[in-house]
Amino acid sequence: MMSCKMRNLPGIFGLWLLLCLTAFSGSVWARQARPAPRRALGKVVYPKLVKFVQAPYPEAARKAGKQGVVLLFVTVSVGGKVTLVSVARSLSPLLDAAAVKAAGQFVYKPATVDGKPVGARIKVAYTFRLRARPAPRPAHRRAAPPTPRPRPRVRPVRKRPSVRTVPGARLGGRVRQKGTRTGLEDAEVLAYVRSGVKGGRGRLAGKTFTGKTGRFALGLLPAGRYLVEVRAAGFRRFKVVENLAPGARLTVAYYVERTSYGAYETVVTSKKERREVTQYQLSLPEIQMIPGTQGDALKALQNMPGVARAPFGIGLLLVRGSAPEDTRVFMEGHEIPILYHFFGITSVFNSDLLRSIKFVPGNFSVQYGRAIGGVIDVFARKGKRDGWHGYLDVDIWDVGALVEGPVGKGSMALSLRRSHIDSVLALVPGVEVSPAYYDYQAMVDHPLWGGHLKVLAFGSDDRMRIFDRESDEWRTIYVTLFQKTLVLWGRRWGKHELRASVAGGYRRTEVGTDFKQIQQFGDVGWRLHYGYRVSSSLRVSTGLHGTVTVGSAELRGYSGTGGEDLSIKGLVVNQAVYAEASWKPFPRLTLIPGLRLDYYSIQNIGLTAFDPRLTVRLDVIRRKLSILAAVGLFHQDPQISQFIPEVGGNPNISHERSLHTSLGLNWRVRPSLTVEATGFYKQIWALVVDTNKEVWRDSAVETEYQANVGRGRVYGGELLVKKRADGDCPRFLKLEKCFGWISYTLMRSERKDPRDPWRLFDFDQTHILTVVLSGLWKYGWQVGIRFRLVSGNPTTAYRGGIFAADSNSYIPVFGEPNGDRLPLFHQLDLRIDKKWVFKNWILSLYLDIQNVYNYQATEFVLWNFNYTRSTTLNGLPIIPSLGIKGAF
Amino acid sequence: MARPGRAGPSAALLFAPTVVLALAALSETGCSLERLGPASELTDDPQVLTIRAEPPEAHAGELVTLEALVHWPGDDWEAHWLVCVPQGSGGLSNCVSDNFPADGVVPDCLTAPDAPLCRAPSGPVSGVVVPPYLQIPPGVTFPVLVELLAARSAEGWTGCLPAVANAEPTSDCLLAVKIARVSAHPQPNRNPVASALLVDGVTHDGQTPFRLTEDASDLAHFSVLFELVVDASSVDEIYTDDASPQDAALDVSWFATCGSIHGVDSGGLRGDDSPDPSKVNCTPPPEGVGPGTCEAAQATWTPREPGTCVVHAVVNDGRGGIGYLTRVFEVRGIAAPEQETTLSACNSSGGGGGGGAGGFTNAFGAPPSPLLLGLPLLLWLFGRRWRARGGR
Repeated sequence: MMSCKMRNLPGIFGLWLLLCLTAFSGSVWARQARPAPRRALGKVVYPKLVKFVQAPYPEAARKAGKQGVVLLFVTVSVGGKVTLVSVARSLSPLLDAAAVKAAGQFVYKPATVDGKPVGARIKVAYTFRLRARPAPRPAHRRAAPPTPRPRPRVRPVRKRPSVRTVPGARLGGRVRQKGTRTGLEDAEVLAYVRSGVKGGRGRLAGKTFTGKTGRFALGLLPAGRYLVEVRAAGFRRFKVVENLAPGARLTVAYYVERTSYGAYETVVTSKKERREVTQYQLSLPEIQMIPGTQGDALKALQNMPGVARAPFGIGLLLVRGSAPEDTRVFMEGHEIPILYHFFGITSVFNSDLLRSIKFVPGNFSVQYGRAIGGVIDVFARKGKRDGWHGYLDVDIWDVGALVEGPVGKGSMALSLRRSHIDSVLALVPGVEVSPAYYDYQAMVDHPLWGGHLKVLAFGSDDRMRIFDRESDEWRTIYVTLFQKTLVLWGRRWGKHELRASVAGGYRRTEVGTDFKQIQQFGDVGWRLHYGYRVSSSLRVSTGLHGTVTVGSAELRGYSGTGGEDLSIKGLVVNQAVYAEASWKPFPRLTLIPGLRLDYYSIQNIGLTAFDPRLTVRLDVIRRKLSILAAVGLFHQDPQISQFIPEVGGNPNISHERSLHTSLGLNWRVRPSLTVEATGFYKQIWALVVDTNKEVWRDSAVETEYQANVGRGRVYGGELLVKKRADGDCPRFLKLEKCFGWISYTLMRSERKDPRDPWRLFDFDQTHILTVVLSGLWKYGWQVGIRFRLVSGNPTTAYRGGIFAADSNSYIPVFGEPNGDRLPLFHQLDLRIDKKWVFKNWILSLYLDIQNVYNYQATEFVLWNFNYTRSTTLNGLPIIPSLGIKGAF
Repeated sequence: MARPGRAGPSAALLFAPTVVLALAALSETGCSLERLGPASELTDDPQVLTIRAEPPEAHAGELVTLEALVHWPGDDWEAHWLVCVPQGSGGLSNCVSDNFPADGVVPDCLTAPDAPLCRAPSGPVSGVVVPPYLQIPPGVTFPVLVELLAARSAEGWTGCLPAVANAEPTSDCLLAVKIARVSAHPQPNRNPVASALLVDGVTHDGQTPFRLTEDASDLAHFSVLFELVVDASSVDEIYTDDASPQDAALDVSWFATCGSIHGVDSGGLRGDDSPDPSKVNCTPPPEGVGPGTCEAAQATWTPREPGTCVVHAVVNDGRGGIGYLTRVFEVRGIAAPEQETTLSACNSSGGGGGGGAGGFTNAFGAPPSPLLLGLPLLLWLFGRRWRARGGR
């Protein structure tokens, strides 16, 4: 890494901007994944099936009477071979497997764009019917990138008997999910002539599939009584008898019940190219069901490999042996000051409004910077457009509400939450603390200029009061609040992609009563990202990322100033430019080099840092086994107060720095089972630590309180074995579906202060094991457990104390710094969910029990007045939490 | 010793939630500390209560008398004194260990007055002459470190040599330090004088044990009020060189060999981590004429058990000036209380407290609501009933 300190910035960013604009006017970039707009492409011809392979009907499925449609995603190569098959909509594990195996042997005439063969991903419906029928034929209804998405093909009814002789009738309407009222796409609607036998059905008179919003039309049918069936994978079969009068046009609404709700919804997201060795893309419906998290997806981050356990479960993110402040949290690429309400009770953003969470514990892309630990980026989803939805959710911590629906061509969503834990605690005698929090999120999205515009406003407010016995009144000792507004716009066209966003925010923090520290910040941030696909093997991207922060800090009653108030104001400017490429010199080898230049200025001080990074990916077995390696430099801005001598800072402080290296393996053992293993080594230097020594500066002796002289090193390995949610479960449990993972981290994190030997980091945890298992039984019952086994945190023992008569206190005699360790931590959490699905709404009830067997974990060691005796401060006892949620 | 870095106000701010959490666990923490025992309750463990130097601020060549107030029940003990003059850039905190001779033979202060580290005569009361070479210019105060080794007689000086050399006290070798100030000030600091102790308004004469008798049925509520009287004329802080008046507040520490003592005003005593300990507030004489006045420091004492009890009160002016007073009490007719519920809510759990084995408590040390405990049962019953009605 090259780094220098500049008092004046000689127009670096002006020069860069010029270069950037020049590049922008040309063409550079593209990114995989999403389908391009139709008008940007030439003539498209979809893949045509040349060789069909019939799947053998599994005997067990035949006996069980299982039939229906398995929807598959089939990737067809340029040569027409099937390279990947995945299940888009499951029917049953046996039939899924049979369909996948058969589809893998299909041969196609490849898709073409302007006559040129291209690879394509298409959707295939593989139908299993128990009756003696012609062999199942795949229906190709949709093509994925780079081809556009045509409308679902509605299979016409070939025979329309008696149309000319008997006045016909029409049956149409909409098929919706029961409970959520969401339109059901690709459901099969069949109309049988009603037979005389009770409950029996006659010949098939009409058949069709629902469209995107669940609408269907069966066309002209002879008048009479019909048994209408609706079939869809993942849904219970729906049957109803309809009377069609001659010439009538009957419009109906059918509500079809899912076989499972919540954690087992199929969430299909586009596969993006991984730019990091270790990157955990969390599937929200699953992690919201993890015991011990109260349904909070962001709290589930603490179960990921590489994340150490924080004492009392508070919201400190201790990623790969780094300090909490070394990991940055972003919302859509813009930093947010806090992720959790105090204690880590719950996150500040409603999990139900999230689209995805990206967690990178190290070696992250150059699109992110100013952190020497890890990165978390949270992405909000769009509001629903298939009608108005919402819920009311109450648990022991808080009450929340959400409403969302379509607005014009876009959507909106509004969420509010307010805690009532303060009211609950007020009922407990002797409790003299009163925490309260609220948060809100408001979101609007709308198409704009061929792209998509999203406006997101959110905020949070935490307040803690304690009862002051002396004054006999409640006093506020802690306040932290923030408001943030994001405006994001993005568009892809042809080989180009452009994303732009602006963020504005305000935050305020107050700590203390008599001695009070108040910090206020107003900030404006921006991001501009442009990408271009140069060829099928090379993509490049570049971008800007910057913030301007105006801040003030007040210290009231600070002893360092003799009790006088101290007020400091300042302007901080961050600006960064990055460039990244993704190059495939060979089909199985991908190189992702990147470079990031950061400039930081506060008052008349300027700091710059250059961070080159490289990631290499080798696909040993395509789509199954890949090896990734990465190396890169990272830096972190000093905290503002660390520049201010009046509060123990040093104006000569510079960036903290680190070198990340990692080597990972990603192995898809089975379609539902993946194994990820990563080894890492992280070197940290220029850490800001207390020095408290006299130095000669500007012809005078001054006290230097802090300096960039600390060092650190972290090394270890992470393992994640994950089974996704499907029906591949132990039979004796009689589960409909299940999911789970085992996460294990072996790690050592050390620090070194000047003139002292290496010592363990305060939160070094050698072993971190997390096991999560969750299963779904019939009738909407779901049970999950989480078990954690973690090494205790290091601690420094005292070897007694020397009595200081003048100050009337004891001077502690320290043992080896962090030479002891707290006892092993282990805890079992349990979660039980139950859903009742009604026609228009769903009632959910959950019980989340933390620390089921009430293990008294040691979190801290407390010492007596002369450091000769100690006792322990234990962690949280058993905490049952009941929640109820009504959603429509 | 360097502590883990990354400190500073902003770091403190970052960890504010941790601080708040600690406050949330206040009740349990308080109980835990109480289980550890406050400094004011003297137990079977020896404890140094204070060191007084007379005068606390001396001139070069002046004799300084050193007195140790030590609680050492049972065995005999010895007091050994070290005097250390910091050299060059060396600090006070490491003065003894930095200058401790490798052979363990520390010269006598009488024979080697110029040595940076020397031994003063042993015994609870000792004396040392300020090295004459410490000629301090006016307006400057030079610190000299005085270290007390209170050693069990069986160990003695020799047995405690490692503890002294390494500055690592043990249960048999207690260490205490005090700074003797050397200056050329014409009106040096003086020790405050604790002149009297009033027990429920009655003066303890200090000659004979004060007898306390109480009905056994009132034991749980029995306590007496202490008022410590400080001679205002000894509080030089309220008299300044330019005769401008100023207030002074002196800290008071209380110790008792039986029962417990709580400050009336603040409840704070040394070792309780209270930011506001028991104080003696003194005001200067009106218009600088005549003696000033000091309010008595108050505390309540609950003896708890019959027998002979010793109470110490130590006054500290924060500048090295120290005074103390020791009184003996005879407590009669008082049986030991069955429970200490009225004294401390924390102790009612018999030592288990919020974190005790088998303790079934919520996050704040209080028992959880029966409703919460019954929730799993309610959920199960509700599910059964729903199923029985055909629901799903």
